[in-house]
Amino acid sequence: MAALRGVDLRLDEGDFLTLFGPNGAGKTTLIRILATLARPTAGHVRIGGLEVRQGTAEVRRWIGVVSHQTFLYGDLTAEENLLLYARLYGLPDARTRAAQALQRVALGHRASDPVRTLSRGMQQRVAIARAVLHGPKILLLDEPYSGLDQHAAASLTATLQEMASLGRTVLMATHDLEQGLQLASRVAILSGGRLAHEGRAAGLDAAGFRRLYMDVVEGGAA
Amino acid sequence: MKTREWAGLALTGLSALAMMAAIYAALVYAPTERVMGALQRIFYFHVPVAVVAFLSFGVSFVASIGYLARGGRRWDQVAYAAAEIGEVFASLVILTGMMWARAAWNTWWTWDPRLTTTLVLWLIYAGYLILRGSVEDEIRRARYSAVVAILGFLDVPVVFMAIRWWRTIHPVVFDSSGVNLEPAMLSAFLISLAAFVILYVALLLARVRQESLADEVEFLRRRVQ
Amino acid sequence: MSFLRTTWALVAKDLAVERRTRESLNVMFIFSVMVVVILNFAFELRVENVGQVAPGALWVAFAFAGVLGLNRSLARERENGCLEGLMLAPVDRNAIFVAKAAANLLFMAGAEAIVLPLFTVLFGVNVLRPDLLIVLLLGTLGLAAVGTLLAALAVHTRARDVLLPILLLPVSVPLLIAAAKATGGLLDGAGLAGVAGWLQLLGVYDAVFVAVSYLLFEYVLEE
Repeated sequence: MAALRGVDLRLDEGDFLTLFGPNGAGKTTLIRILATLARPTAGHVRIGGLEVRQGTAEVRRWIGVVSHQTFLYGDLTAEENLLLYARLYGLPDARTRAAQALQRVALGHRASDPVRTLSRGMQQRVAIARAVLHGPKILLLDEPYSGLDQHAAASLTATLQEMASLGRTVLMATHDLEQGLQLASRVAILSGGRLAHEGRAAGLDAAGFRRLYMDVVEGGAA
Repeated sequence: MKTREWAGLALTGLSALAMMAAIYAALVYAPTERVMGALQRIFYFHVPVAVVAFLSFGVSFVASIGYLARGGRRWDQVAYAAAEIGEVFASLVILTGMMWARAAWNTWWTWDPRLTTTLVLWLIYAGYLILRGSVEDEIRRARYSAVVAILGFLDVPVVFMAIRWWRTIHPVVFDSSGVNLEPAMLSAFLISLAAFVILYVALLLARVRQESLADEVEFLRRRVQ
Repeated sequence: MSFLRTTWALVAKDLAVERRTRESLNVMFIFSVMVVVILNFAFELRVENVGQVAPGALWVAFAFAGVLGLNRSLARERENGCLEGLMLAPVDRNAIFVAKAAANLLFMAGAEAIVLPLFTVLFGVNVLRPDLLIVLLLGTLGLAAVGTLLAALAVHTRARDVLLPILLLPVSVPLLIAAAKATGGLLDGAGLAGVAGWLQLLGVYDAVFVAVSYLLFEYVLEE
């Protein structure tokens, strides 16, 4: 009944790994473990050479997480939310940073509105701003495109492109094959808790990959 | 049958024998008490059952700490089984206590510290059992239960202190000057105590085994899906 | 970021949310009043001197209102996964507990402050006295600490709101007894020296359970 089994994965700096897999494959569990939100029952997680145990505060400074949950307080304004996180991450010039972050996701004009009053797409944009506020070296994304409108999706893609060009490391879990392949430098498939496939993304086209995906997922499952 | 099953059977047989001995000792062998008469014989069941109830909650407490410290399904199984059995025994304590109170003082309830503490403990573990029914994820369930069991058990001495400063009617059988029971009565009591402890161990092992089997069934069920 | 600064930032956050919505305060206040009024009716018909039951009634009101406030406070952290957002930050996770418990303590105290004058009027018993403050503080502290731990746990279950009173009230029995007794003693003119025993019990309860709640909270946070 383990969610993950024998997952051996290595990401180098600057890699953009898209993780595919059906629901229940363990993608969320893996991301939560990498984000220090969950502890593996066996095995090690090392980030930047440092062993990650749930208590390690420093490692969290390098990580940014985008999930389908926004981690935002609905009753606080977008700006207040970002200010809170800026303070928690110990960032100087919190106010300026928060304002700039909101500008970058084109929500500067809604800075003083409670997050509750924003549309889902806008909330996700604020969530993205929150995730990269502290300039993390690693970005973890769990189904970030789910439920997003075009505007928000474009904003997300822009952020991801920026991360990639800055040489940051990205791990994105998704079951949207097209979106996933766009920016990836590497791909992996998680099925039934196991790493069923792993390889370079260069040269892969959507159709070919779809066939590979179907084979792996249907053929591999116990 | 495997050795484990033989042992289980033997233990059950032993507890049946011990129980019969206890019943005999309590109802026939022990002399009738002067003041309260035959009614006093409830004591031979009420007190051992109380001892086992608290023992069981103690086991649950230790197992809960074990679970949080070490992890692993086994600790959780023991914590749960012990809590459940403890709850059953606590119910018996309260019931026999009420019967005794009714017969001895013509009242269904006395706010006596020991009985009331048992009632509060009963409530605490009722919460524990409801909590378990309310969480589906196994690991979360185990962890939350452990937290509640630890909190609840640590509460016991404090609850007792609080209620004791509040009321006292319970007949004092074991006081600081020694045990004011005749030797024959003491023997009967000890036999009964031993019998209930053996019964408890048999029940606990059986319940834990039951949980293991349930786990296996669940595991197989998921593989088939 | 230092423990104290983190705690302060989080408490400030809770205060900001409360200032905007006034949810917790409103709910706790109205509910306390309701309980007090209902108990007043319940006892008025049979009890000669309603002042006798005042201490108990007061703490029943605070306990039940406290449960509501705690539920609201922790439910808010569950929405949008905020609690996990906090866990992602490079802060001491124990600070999350201290901040939450402190904020809950403040809100419960706030509600109590508003209820006391009302209680004085309805029960005809003057509870607006400084020596009662000690009892209120000790009692509310224990409830806030254990309540925060159990509420954090309860909001992650199916039964949710319903589970908190089931878990919290039995565990807080010694605290409620001691608080009610101390309150009664003070109202009867025993003076702080006269209720020292009960105050001690409150102190012991708080010392043990604040520490235990602090230690156990991380297990509730974990996945």
